[in-house]
Amino acid sequence: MLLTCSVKRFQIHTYYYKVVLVLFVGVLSSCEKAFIEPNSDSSPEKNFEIFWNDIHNTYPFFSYDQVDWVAVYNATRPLVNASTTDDELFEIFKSMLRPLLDGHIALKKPSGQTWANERHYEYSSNYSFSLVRSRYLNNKVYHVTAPGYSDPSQTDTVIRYGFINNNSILYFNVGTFLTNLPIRDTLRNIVQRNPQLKGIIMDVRSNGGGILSSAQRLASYFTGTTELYGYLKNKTGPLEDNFSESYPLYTLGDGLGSYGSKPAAVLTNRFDFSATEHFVMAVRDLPNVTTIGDTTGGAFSPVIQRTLPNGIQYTVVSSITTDKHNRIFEKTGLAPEIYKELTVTDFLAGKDPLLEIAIGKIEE
Amino acid sequence: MRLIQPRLVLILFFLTIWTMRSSAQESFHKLSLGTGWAGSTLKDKVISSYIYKKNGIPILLEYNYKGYHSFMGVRVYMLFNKLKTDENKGFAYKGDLGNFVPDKINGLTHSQVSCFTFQTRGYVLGRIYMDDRLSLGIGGFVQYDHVHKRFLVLSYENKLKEGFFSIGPQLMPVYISGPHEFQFALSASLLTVGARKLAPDEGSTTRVSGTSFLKEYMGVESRLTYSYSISQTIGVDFNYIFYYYQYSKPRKEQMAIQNLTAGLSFMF
Repeated sequence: MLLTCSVKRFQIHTYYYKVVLVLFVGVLSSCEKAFIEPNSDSSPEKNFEIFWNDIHNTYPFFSYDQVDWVAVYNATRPLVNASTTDDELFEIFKSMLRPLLDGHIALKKPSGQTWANERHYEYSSNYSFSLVRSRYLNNKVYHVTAPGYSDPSQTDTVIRYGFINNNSILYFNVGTFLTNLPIRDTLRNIVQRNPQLKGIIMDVRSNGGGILSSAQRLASYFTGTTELYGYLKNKTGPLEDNFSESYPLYTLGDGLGSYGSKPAAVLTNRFDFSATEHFVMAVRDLPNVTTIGDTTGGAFSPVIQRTLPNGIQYTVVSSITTDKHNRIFEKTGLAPEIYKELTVTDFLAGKDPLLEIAIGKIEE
Repeated sequence: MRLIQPRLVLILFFLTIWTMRSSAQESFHKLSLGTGWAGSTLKDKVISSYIYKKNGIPILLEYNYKGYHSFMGVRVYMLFNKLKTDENKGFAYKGDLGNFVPDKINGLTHSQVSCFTFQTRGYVLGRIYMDDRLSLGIGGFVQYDHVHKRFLVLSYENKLKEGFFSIGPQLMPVYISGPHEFQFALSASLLTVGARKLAPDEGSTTRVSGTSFLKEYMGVESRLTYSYSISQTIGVDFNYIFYYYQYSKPRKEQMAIQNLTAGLSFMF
């Protein structure tokens, strides 16, 4: 009797505990969701979150641009919901990126439509190659072409050059660094074939940049050897001071002969970006080099590209480039030693004042 | 900041030994080793606000003592797994211009967080008898959590090391009948001393530390155990352990781990 009672009591308790166990496991299995709020499943919201977070982690110039990226989130996040279309999202992204003043910021739809920040549109290019050709080169221009970098079936004109003042000055125009053409070797060959040269005018106006090493090689022809000209540090996380150690930037010398100490003029404008600015930064302090024209575009850091799940692509930068004195020229650009504009009056008069000054400096 | 948990764990250990020596006759020691399934969920804003999930195999090593007046025990828990999210599916560090960041670095992708959790917990509870089989343990616990995470931000492998020492109350009803034993334990951290060693590239302040009273840190554990004694000396244990913690400095992070384990136990 006692045993039966005890067994029965145990069975009741066991039953009670089994019920508790099932309830307990059931409740706690869903507890995780109660504690950790799930993220939204909506595609537009996910795309927005990825976009915002990636730029939050990546972009190095928020304080420089005086942009509170968290405030941008708070202002724009409520505009996105499950019914937001990709076109609407594209417009929202544009409004978010507009205050970021880096020259590499851009968006691209899967259809190919692109947007880039408009900050440079207000400046004049101070550049007319037709004026240079007709007025200074007597329409005698040599073209150096190469297979297109992005599309090898196309042909790109990378270099245009000619001679001024009875072949005493070489005019050397580099249209792009986005090429596999050995620009330095081309220039070296021309200079070696023309020992009568008094100097060179390097015209890099409206050169949008390209491959950094190509610009560094060309710069080494003027620096004479591998030489330090700046530093670069990468953004590594979301906090303001999340940066890698700075690593040095050098011109890439090959020891096969340099330009030497003859005078050289470098013509620049507001549409010089990226690798072109690296070239200018590397040579501007040389005693025989004079920079003439307008400030460069101010977009030194290598561009990086992302693709969102909805196919929208965007380009940003994730590093800060400084010169060898640790000065930042992002956005401000590199100011020329001699500032000069090409006005409409100059153009109508058939004069390129930048080129005139360059000729004068070399003839000195 | 130097964490003080090793000293306190030592004190707890000696307290355990002292209590064992002074306890009444109706007491036994149990050493158990278990393993099974652990489902982890991590919500972390280090990379973004993604939710990472993964199942893993935990290891549970435990010593406990049931005395006439007290319950006490020490537990070591380990779990290693590579948590994964699909919330960034379709996102790529590349575009028409090429690939800018490698898809995989040191075995990690941008959708993964490699996570190692090590936990040591000790508890001391007074025992109140509800009837001849059911008793209630009321007391407190001390716990040290070490969490080591690896993840990628851009092309950088970041390592976060976190250490937390917590103290809080614990409630534990225990039902024992013959070879069967049911035990439920509920505990929550009240006071926490913690240090988070951030990734070196996460800023000049690579270490965040401080003491929190129910604010920056919060941990809850709920545990249900069924034990069956096969003989006087050998038994089996089945555990369901739900563990949740969150902290808010320098950013909010939440983690929940659900464990279902089975193991062998040795009584002496």
